[in-house]
Amino acid sequence: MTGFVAALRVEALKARRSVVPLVTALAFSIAPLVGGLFMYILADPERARSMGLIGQKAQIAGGGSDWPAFFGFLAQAATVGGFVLFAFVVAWVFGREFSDGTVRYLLALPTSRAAIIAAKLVVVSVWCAALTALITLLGFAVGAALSLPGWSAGAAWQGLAHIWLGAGLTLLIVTPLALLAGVGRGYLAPLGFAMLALILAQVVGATGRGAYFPWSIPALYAQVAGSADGGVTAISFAIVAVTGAAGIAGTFAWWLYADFSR
Amino acid sequence: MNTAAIQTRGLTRRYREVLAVDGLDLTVERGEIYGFLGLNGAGKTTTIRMLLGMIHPTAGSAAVLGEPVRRGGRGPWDRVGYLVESPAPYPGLTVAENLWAAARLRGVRDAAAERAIERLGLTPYASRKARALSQGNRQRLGLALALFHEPELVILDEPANGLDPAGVVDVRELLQSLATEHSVTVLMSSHILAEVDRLATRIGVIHQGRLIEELSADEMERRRAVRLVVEARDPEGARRSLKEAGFDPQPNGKGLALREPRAVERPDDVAAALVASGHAPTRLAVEQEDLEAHFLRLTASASGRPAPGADVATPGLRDAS
Repeated sequence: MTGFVAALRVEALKARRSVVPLVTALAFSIAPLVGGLFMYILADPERARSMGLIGQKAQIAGGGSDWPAFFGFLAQAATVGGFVLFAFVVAWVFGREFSDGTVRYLLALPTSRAAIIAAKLVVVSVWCAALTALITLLGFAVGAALSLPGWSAGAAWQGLAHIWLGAGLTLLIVTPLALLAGVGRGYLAPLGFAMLALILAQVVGATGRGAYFPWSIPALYAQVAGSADGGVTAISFAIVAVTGAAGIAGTFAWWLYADFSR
Repeated sequence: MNTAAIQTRGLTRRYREVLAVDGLDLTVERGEIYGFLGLNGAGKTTTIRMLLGMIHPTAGSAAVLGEPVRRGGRGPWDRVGYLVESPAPYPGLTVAENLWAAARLRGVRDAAAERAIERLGLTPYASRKARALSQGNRQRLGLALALFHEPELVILDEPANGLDPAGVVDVRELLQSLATEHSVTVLMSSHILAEVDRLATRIGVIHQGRLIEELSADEMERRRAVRLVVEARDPEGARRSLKEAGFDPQPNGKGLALREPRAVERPDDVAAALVASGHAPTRLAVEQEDLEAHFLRLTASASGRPAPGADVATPGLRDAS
């Protein structure tokens, strides 16, 4: 792949010079803070009842006020909230080239298109990993500040595994959005699809077949992680892996063979 | 190396019902400045995009600097610079960063980017984000991105777009020096026909996807329509006398125009006939159409309609007397 390192340096510069990483970081930071608020409310049931609506929401979201419950909340944030933000990252990294018209500078270069796409995918992955690391670290800080009960090394490792595996699954299901950014020539198609996928995930989840719908699986995994009646099976993981691979392969193929008439 | 800089054979691109480019055979020799002219939608940009491998032809082939342009192929892109349609630098990057990024992707040293900033008069704006540049400076940055790596072939779509008069002159001189001093081949499309007229060593006119005329600057000079423009105090009387003298005067604004060679070559005979009939001319001038008039006449004729301003025609002609 001719020029991969050069392409990676250029993609990193584009991301660094944008406010979008900061915006996504700020948006994702809300998750551990809200989770911490829920834990704080749930720590005192009397206070939870006196809080009205937010008390009810917190009851739904968590149930308990301890480290395992907080990790469960963060895993859900990494998958549901993560899906929206990761979709935004992919739409920006790939779609902006079309929306800004800069794609024309990437097409007739000694650096191959494959190298540019690979560099973009690496930037997306690193960016999403950094966002996940952010909520993990903030989560630890918030949990420690609240002195949540139920800490153990085993619970921490299990919590970390759920957060990071959930984020990894989410990253895989957003890769088709990179293809859609090309096909739709901009941000709108991937963001529109992300919204549609969120709605469909709810609908399919309600029918009980969420374990077989790629865009339901990460959230379902985070929701049921650790429980005996998971519903998410090895087939579910395989479906996510195939979706991710198809998204990546489709994106490479599209950039190599599509017409760039705009 | 004696291969042409650009060579297309039967290059065709169809979009469903629309034949955007129709069997184009185009040859641009090395060192030429080739003016590629056409109305909006004539197929210029589609051709340029096919030459750069951005659009795949429906039929035919293209070779650039001796290498065939193929789907997914590596191509000769390290030796080609281009500006397609309007410049679109990364808005969040500064001028210097845009060139730094382009230098990375082209595997060129930073010094080349710095030279381009200086050469295109962008030094005062080097630290300015591209989104804050004026249209003229965006165009200069677009040209810097096309030229900084010292390519053998430059493909420019509307290079003078948005530039002020001084900028137009700068770009003209830059392109002339690239062609004459560094043997760089330039393919340029432009709507500013006076610029093409001044710069191009060869001109191709594309209309409805077909190359309807291709000629060198010298041939162009010879083919331009020439006519004798006559004005008199009594145009009707002058017209009658010229008719009687065997000429074929046509109305031309406030005066008359004669296109036959014996009038153009011997304006003194026309003057003598007018004086003899008591309709002495107040103006007598041999005028040659400029590229704009030639282009409009050519494209109108290819479309089967009269050229705009065909019988007014004073604009677009230059005095050759």
